[in-house]
Amino acid sequence: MAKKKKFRIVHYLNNFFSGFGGEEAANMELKVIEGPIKVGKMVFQPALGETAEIVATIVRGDNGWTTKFIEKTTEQVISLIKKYNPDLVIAGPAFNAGRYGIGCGAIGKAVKEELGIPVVAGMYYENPAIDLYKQYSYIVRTSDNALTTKDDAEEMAALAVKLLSGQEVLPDQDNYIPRFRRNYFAGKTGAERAYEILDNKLAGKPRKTEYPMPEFDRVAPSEPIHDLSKVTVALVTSGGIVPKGNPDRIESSSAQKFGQYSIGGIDRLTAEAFQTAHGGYDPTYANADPHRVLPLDILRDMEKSGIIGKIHDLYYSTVGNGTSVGNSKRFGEEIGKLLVAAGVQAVIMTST
Amino acid sequence: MAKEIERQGILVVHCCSIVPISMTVGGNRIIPTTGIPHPFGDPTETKIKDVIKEKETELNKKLSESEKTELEKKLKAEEPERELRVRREYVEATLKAMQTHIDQQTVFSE
Repeated sequence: MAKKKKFRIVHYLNNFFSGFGGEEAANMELKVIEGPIKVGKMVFQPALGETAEIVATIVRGDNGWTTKFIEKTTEQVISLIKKYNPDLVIAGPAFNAGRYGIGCGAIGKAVKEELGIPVVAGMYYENPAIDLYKQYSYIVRTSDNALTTKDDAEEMAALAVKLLSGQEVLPDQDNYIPRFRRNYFAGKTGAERAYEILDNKLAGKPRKTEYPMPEFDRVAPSEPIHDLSKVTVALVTSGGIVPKGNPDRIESSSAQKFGQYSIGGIDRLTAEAFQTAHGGYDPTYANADPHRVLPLDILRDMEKSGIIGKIHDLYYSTVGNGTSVGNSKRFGEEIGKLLVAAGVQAVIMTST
Repeated sequence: MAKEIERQGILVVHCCSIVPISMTVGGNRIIPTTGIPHPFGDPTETKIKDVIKEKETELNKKLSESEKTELEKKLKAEEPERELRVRREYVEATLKAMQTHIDQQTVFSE
């Protein structure tokens, strides 16, 4: 009997997980190694068994996925992948690593669009790449650190085997991020199902939500400012106030970035020089007078009369319309770091 | 964002119109503002209907179209000064929140 042909898989790893180095190797150029290496060799290949073999491992330094290089890197990687004629691509696992996640996600999109074969990736639920790329790959949920590599990679391998053998896969049972909403006819109406959940909740019985809500932690309130006349205050907004023309192209919905803009020496935000980029509220009022969102006029007057110490020369802006929790958290972390470095003690955050 | 900035040791006052969202996510010092499209503003267009209703209740009669137009024109003429006054009130409330000691999430409402 002819030996059953093994499926072919190409595996993508970054500089760190391929063993080439940490941040100092983040610029390393594309490299291809025959067969599996590292987690590919130690976990994926054994888990894939006789079903498939990893024919090649592609490695690129994480900086290949920054805005400047991502297009070129994607082209190069796809070109390489094509040479190996795989049936499926495995990318990562990237856990919570941002650039690595973006790389895996971008590969997933390009492979789906150009090769039409499945891609299995692995990421922590807060990886910013998820919102951008979840619909193109099967992104298995991993922890946020490499201690769980064996379990996570085995789950990814199991999903790959199912996909290669044409079995049905579902987000819940196979632990991957839902790629799109699948409609189905439930036996009962929404009202009946909601009532059942409530009934169980009141009776203290177990129940399962149809739609899990994110959980939010708490941060202890800061000590108050004792002397306003000495404080440096910074302005931050999710109302999307940006320089006219939106030079950084902050998205009107589901923002992927925030902007840093100078108001040093500027007393007033004029309709000629500023606008809102936010697509979730009537922009007429903010466009006619940006002070309705960023009250710089009043604050400048107070700064001049010594009521407050100083308004920070830079303000930070993004659009809070359908912005993911993950991105919002990331923006807050990055902006916070910049403000701490600049010696700012307080922030007025305006939301629309 | 407010919470992540505060986590790094910077006091944040969150000025917003949908207070329950800030409460749920975990904002500590919250100032409810005038309206979603104009948190620190008070434009005529969004208040004229309410002002007309108030006037009709006060006078106990329906206003004519020309009376309504007159009222709107008056509000529009006062708008710049009115908005600066309202904005200053809300900024002062924000600064007061900055100077107030709190042990838990607090909505600083009038």
